[in-house]
Amino acid sequence: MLRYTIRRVLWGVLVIVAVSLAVFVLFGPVLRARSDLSPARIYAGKNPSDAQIAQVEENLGLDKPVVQQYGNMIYRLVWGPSDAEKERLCPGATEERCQELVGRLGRSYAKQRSVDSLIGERIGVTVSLSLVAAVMWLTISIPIGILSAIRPRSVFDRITVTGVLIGQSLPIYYFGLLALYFLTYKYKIFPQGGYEQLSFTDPWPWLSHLILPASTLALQFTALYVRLVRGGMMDAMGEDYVRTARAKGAGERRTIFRHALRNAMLPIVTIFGLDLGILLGGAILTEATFGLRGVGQLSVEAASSLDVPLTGGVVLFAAVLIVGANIVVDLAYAIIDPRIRLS
Amino acid sequence: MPLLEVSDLHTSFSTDDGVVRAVDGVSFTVDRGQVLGIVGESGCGKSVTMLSIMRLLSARQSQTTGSVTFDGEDLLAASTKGMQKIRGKEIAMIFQDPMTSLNPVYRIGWQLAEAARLHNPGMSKAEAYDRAAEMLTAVGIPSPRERLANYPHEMSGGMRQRVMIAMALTNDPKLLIADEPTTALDVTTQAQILELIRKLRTEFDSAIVFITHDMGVVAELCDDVVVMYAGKVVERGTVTELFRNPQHPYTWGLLGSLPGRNLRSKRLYSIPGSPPSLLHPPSGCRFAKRCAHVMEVCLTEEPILGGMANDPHLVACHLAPEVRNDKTNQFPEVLA
Repeated sequence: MLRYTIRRVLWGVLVIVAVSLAVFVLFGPVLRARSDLSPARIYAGKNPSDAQIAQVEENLGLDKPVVQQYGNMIYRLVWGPSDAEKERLCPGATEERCQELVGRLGRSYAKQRSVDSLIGERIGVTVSLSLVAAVMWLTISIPIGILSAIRPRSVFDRITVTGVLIGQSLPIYYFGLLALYFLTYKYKIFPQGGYEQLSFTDPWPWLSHLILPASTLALQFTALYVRLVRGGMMDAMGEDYVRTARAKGAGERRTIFRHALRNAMLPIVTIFGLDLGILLGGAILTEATFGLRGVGQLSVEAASSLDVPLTGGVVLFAAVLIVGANIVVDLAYAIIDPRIRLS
Repeated sequence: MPLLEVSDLHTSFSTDDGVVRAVDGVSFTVDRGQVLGIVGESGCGKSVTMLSIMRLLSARQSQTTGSVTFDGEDLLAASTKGMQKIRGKEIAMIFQDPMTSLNPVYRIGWQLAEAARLHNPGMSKAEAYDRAAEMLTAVGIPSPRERLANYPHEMSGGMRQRVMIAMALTNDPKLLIADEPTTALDVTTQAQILELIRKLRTEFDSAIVFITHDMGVVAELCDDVVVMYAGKVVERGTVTELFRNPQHPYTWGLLGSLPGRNLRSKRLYSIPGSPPSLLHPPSGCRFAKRCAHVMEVCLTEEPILGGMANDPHLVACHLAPEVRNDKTNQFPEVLA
């Protein structure tokens, strides 16, 4: 198990390095060679003089050879910004202030702050949104999927299958806007968009701001997961070991929950881990519809303002999350499915 | 009173193409401690008959009528709870494929202990695991204590079938239904499992219904035989009677296809053609299309299972007794 874990983590590191290389090459040399978008030009303000551009390039380290630039990027990613970089980008600032200005993921041109601190500011929204949505879609889809699977072709099952089709076909922005219009503007049940910090003494403001966006996000996943659970359960219920359980004298409930469900859930755990990893990298459409300033919105802002380091930083951050989720899923799978041997 | 009495059992499945009558009027009895063999080729309704008796078929997709009396109780009328008390306690079952019949995510010990605890609510966990180890010893699995911690995938097919047998016998059932328990195993393992069943039969004193398509197994193991064809019983009798004086042309075919019986011919005999569709079964005798002795009456009139008065050997065939008793018909190859 330990060796497997180490190997998995090493592979994960390799993937991150590959992504970082891709980010560096695409947002660095390639972008510059294929367009006149010199990052220094964006950073230097309107109608900069050549001297100003040169100064900025030096500040950002863009005057160095390409290989050294990448080396710097990796160095920064692993050990944090070097003293020289700190000296260059935040001279005379306190350590705290400097952390806000330069970070491991680099520094945003447009916002003049470190990508780390920008993501840190936004991640709370995204995590809250993703987790509340995940709780919603799991608690709804698993029971519906099971009920639907044990009574195939029943009225309940037919309604479910139709509902799944509708749920999967509704685009987030459409359903989100409808929900906003009726439940917020017309009937004023939920607060208008935005986000409240989670407070453990009174979590309601936090939750009430999240209910609409999270249910909008959860709708699509609920539809997908009902299908997954239903399919998995139907397969499991037809398995020989379920017949064995019944032949032993196990009741229907025991057969379903003890014998079939655990087998049916195996693939779903995998998909859930990956979905959560992807969501934590930003739920762009939902965040946009409900005016939530999360990581998804951050990436939109970065792309639309041609903020190259910020875009690259968010991409790298999302890659780390997805790779991390993959590792967690693989390890969890090995624990819950005895047939997977880790060696 | 027989232990199990099945009479006029009908089981049908509703499919998109129509109703399939998989079991069509099957009757037989099993006495205490007796071994009954049910033979016939794949799809003739052997397994469905037993699953109907255990009420293990989905009530949504199938329909069962007739009567099944086990130890004085009408199983088809029993409540769901009542049926659960009978399954695994009074009647236990082992299946064809040991590779898929055990739950892959639970340890062998857990699955065996579950069988014990389902029917002994007062039993402690430790007692249930003791019983599980005891049963593994009974089916000849070495170092049973360690084996309890194994998952099914860590065992071979033969071992898993032993575990299935151990699980079935945990509660000393009065009747054991073995549904082709050796079909999925290799030949040496088959012999071991058969040997085990023979040994356990005397030890546990359960009656056994042994479903197979292997006449050799029937000869070795069974007291009585029921021969099924296309959802119906075509011949029924004691093993000695049936092997010495087979009455139905289908049984002749089954016996003729046994290796060893017809040493003189180089090729094994096989019955030409294939069984009829049970969606639209032919009128008259269902075997008529494949029968070498077919007569006009066979195509229109269905033969009824019957025999001489007081003769337990029954056959459903229109052929005259002289023809059926003719050795050259019964064992054409041997006498050739």
